[in-house]
Amino acid sequence: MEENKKRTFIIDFGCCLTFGHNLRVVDLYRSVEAQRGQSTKAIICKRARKIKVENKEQYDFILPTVYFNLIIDTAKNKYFRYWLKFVILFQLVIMFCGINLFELQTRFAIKKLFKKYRFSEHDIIIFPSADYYGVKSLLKRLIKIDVGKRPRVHLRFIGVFENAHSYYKDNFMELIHLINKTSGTLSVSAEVPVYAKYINTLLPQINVASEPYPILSNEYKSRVITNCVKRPFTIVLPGTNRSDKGYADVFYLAKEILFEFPFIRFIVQDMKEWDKHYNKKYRDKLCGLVNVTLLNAILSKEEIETLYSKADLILCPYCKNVYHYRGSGIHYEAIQQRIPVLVKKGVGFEEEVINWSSGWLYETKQDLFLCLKQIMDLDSGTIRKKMDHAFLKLKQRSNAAYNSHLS
Amino acid sequence: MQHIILICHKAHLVSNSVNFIRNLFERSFQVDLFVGDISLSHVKALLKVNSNSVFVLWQTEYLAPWLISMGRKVIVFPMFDGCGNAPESYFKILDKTYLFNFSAKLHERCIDAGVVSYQITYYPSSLQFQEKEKLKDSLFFWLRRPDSSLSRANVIEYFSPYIKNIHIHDSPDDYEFRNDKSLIPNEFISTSNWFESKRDLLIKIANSKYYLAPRESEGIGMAFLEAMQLGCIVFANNAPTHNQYIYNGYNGFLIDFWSGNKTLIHKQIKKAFELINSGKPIGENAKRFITEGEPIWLKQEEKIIGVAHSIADAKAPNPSGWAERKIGFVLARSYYVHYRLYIMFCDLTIKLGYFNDGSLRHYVKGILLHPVKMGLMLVVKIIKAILRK
Repeated sequence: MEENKKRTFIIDFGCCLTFGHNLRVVDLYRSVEAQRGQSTKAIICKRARKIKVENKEQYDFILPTVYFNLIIDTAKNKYFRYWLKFVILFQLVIMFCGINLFELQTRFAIKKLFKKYRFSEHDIIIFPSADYYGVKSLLKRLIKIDVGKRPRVHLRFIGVFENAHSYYKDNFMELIHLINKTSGTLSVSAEVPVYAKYINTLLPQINVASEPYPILSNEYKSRVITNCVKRPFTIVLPGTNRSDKGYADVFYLAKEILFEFPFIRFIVQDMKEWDKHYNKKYRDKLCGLVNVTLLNAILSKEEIETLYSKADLILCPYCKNVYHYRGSGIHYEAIQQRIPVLVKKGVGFEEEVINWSSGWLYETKQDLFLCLKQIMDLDSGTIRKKMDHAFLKLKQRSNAAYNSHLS
Repeated sequence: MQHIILICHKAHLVSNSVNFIRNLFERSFQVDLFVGDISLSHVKALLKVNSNSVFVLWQTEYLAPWLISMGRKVIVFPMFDGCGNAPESYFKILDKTYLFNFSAKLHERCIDAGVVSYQITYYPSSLQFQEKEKLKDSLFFWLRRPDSSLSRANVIEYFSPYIKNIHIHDSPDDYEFRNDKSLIPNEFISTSNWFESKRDLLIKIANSKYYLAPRESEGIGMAFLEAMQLGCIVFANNAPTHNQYIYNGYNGFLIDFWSGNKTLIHKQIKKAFELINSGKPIGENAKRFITEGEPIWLKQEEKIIGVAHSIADAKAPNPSGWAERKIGFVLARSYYVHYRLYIMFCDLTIKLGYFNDGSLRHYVKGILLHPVKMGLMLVVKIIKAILRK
């Protein structure tokens, strides 16, 4: 990386897997910055060093893994899971004694980064999925630096990693306090409008706007929408392989819909066998349902592309208690693929669905049926127009947010 | 042509109450009808021959767990008069089947048990025949359950102050009830045991001004629905499915016969006749209500056929494990021994985690670990409170 040029660093302490949306977002930010002619470096966890991406030289696998729960959920080997649980327990016990190993690790990592890259006032540091430990360590470091010499920092909160651990609920206020102390060279955004509004009430002096995925200028997919009234109408549930993403509801939804619209078919991504909520009996039940096709739990990029090509509609039956401040990568991908979404009310991205007109919202079973009827009555031209409009809105919002924070 | 095996009780064949659903399926399926009293070895033979057929169980849901465990596609039509008072486990065991409920109450019970069901409402099609003028103050009563609150003596006692003639069609449901030999027709009571055709029965009903629904509760209630369609003023026990169709004082009367509280019943009947004598068009309202409902049923017919086609088109699910298959068979056998035994086995099976996504581990966890967890949480709270002080 050239030393004296304006540099952008994309840092994500939560990016410890070789797949998933963290990696996708990091890659998108890196690509967008590269398109803008910036010298970029994505700094992610050591554990993700086996990722398959283009321009791997723009990645630095230096960060320690602190969010072990992400690995536990995906670890196939049960002994490895036991080991991880033991590590977490051990660290929690030490934390109880007043020493926070997670924090020490991240603080050390940030120190290392400052030493390695010598951040200056010309540099930009982006946290595309801001997390508690990473942000805390960085801000504590920034306080020690003169305001004029601080790099510009952009934090994008996504409502996932803001707390140190699920046992502690009030860590976010600690971050807010630190942001207040370091404001000036700092910009803050949130993935979804409702979360942005909430953070704005906590940080009235900073303009916190919503910031969806960045859209690459060449990423304009021209998917041919097939006629929606064709048989069978296919509803796809990509990424619904977690209990908080409504996996446990799919059986009931699909069965209810079978009675109301017998010609509708579902393609569902299965839950991982090693997921703590995995229930073989439920899986068998779901598999036996006549209108459901179950796919593998982990899908390759090509498989996901094929899945999108079959979809007439994407259903997001996400748990509103978990997703009330969260956005959805699936939603952005659906817009880019021109597939309308049907989303359960109460999730963080419902405002986006309304504002961009990218789909429909439902709350009750009756709502769901009404929406489905409405969607099936629409012709392919209307849906294409609707989705083109939604894509433009997403692009506008994304560019506006990006430019206001990072230009 | 896709194949359906329709299994019902013998009584359904005798009363022809299964005919309408049989005719409905015969429109687009090849239907084989069997009565539920067939031996299990016969069902086994059916399973071997028809591996991809859809089994439609008409009030014979006790066969469902076994058929499901054998990897068959099963549609179930339970009836309120058969399982209205059954426990939740009775419905939970039907989770993998496709349930249609004629009774709204039963549909609610299924939902409470966490089982998806589809509620359908039956309306008879218009009856085409010349109606004679109705005989004033005459009541038609089909004595189907002499052992219930709607016995001959009770009915005569309740209605004699208000009517001039009561026609008792003495043809009880079960073979254990014999015709009442002591019943001697007179000016007040006329009797019949048998009608040559259904048309004759309907003419007799159509000629009566009042109709008393013969059973305390119904699965569908085709008889009283036909009476409503013929413009009779229907009196029925306040229970499903009567209370699903009859709006008391508008298109019929709901009387609490089941309560056995004679003062209350007399009071309710008196009030009903006061309303009738005031000139309210109860019979006309009933007729209109049923006639207007007919298109609803026609739409639902299409839906049933659509769902059945979807089920028939799909690949048969995988058979369950050895244990679940054996338990399914034992359950079906237990029903033949006694209904109560079947109910007990259902409960046990669900607790053991079969035919549903629960498990014995969850059940034991619920019973044993929940208090432990609560206790631990309490201890943590106490420690926190102490530390705060």
